[in-house]
Amino acid sequence: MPIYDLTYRGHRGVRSKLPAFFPVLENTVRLATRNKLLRSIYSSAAIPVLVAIVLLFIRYQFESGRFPGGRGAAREFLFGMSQYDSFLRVQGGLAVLLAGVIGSSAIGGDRRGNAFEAIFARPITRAQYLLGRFLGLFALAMGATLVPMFLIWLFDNIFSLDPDRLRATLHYPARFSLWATIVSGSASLLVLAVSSLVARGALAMATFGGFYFLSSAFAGVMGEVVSRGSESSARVVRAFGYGEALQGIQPAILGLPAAAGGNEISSTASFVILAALAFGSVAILFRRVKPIDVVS
Amino acid sequence: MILALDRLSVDYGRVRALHDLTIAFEGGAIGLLGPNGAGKSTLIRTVLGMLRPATGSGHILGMDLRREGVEIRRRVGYMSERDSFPQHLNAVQWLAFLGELSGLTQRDALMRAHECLWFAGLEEARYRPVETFSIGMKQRVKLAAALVHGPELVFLDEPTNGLDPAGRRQMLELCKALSEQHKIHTILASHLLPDVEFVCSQVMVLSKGRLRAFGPIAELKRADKRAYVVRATGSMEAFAAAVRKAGGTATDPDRRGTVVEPPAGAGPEFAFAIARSIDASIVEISALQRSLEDVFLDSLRAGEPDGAARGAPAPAGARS
Repeated sequence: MPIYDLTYRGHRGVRSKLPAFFPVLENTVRLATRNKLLRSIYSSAAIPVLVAIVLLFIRYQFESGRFPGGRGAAREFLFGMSQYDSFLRVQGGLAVLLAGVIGSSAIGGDRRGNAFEAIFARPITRAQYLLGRFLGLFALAMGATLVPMFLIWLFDNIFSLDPDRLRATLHYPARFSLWATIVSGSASLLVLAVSSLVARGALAMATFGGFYFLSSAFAGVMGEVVSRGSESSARVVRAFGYGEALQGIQPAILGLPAAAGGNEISSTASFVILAALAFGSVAILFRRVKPIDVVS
Repeated sequence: MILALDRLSVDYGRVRALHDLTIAFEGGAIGLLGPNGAGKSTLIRTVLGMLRPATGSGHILGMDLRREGVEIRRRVGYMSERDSFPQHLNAVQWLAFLGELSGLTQRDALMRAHECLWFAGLEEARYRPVETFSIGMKQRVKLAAALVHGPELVFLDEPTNGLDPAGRRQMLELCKALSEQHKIHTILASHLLPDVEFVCSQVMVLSKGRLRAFGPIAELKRADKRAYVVRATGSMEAFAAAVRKAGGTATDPDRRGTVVEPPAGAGPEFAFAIARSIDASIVEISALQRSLEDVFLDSLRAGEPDGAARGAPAPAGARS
């Protein structure tokens, strides 16, 4: 076999009609789906859904009289927005974990191998590359947040077979979508920013985890200290924890009073903190992701 | 015109990396020569739109450097000097990804990835993760990556870096085949003169960000047109003495010949006249050719204020 083959042919094929960021998105998803941990997290994300579906099934069996106990027993299995709120917390935690696991090496891997030089020698801009990475991660995180919540809502209505129930819960999917977008979007941006700063995947994952827990601890301690003077200030300070900020937006999005969610975190402050984190992450990404490292 | 630069300058912060480059490259294979830090990679990156020119303008394949960077990168291939690979991808996946980024459909990109890796000589190794490859194999992957989208012009930045003599020879043959057989315009950046001479017919010499020489290699080598290498029958010493006596100069006579510089106004017929005068015959006469190394060193010296070339490239074969 010759070491080189002169059968090389030029390419004159048709140009792909897909947007320029799409190959990056696809690459992100393809690499992520090879990760065994991702599959475990997805499996874990299905457990709350199964639990909710079983609860809903039992509830509507009692309500329809198929199970002995009647409507009184059905009330024990009440499934309103407050119950959805509990499931959202679980799914939100899983989405953040998922983003941390699969996003931690998404950009760091390219940076570490100096792949930017080869990638940006192609007809793709930095914004398109970042959009592809973000959307890939975002789509996977949405799979662990929005899809399970939508399934629970769907089964809620399938089991009830009640048009009034459908009318009463018709606004749920929109609220879930907004919540899932904020959770998945902020987690994806944040973990990509960390990945652009810390090239090693494991280290980036640890850094992201450290940020999550340390910010929570900081917000908890500061909230406790401030609450001795002013509870309203403490509600704001508690939002400085990333996890707390994610919880803080839930009552506002789901239309629940703060107390109903057992939440004493300012929704407004939570939105501001999450927006600031998102903008900061984007700024870091544009600063760190460059075609070449210029040494002056 | 494949590449036309007009007073192009590039800055890295406060440092000017390229100074007022004006180049017109018609096509074929051109060597971009210069010592380390001369600005070769900077020029390539600027032309690819990775760096923004500070002043001046340029066109590549008829497209404006400043405004059409994306379209330029669709039609131009680039083999970087440094390793540039992601983690956890095999060679086929990496090239298919790059092909898709270049606008190929998924199917075409995969097909081209196989073709180009095969062309580069990777054969079955193409299914292995790139991070496990030897230096030589990585160079081949980089070459294949530069070709995956079927470019009209390809930039090869130090393609023989880290290769053993056999690998270097094979890589150079591949590079040569690109321009000669596949009609892909090639710009080969190297500080190895033999590499450039093997692949290219033209050369541009950069030093400290400035263009020192530019043109066909054969023409640059023939710059000293008034000198001839002459071999005559009989004693070369006697021939040289006759040349000197007639007002010309003759240097280093030996059995292989002597370098003759005729007196002002005379041409090659001077050598024949001298030979007749001593009853000798001219066996061989050719215009004196400088080596590419001479061209390179002279052009560097011309740019030095004290006339000394520093940071000169490795002489022929020094890095094989």
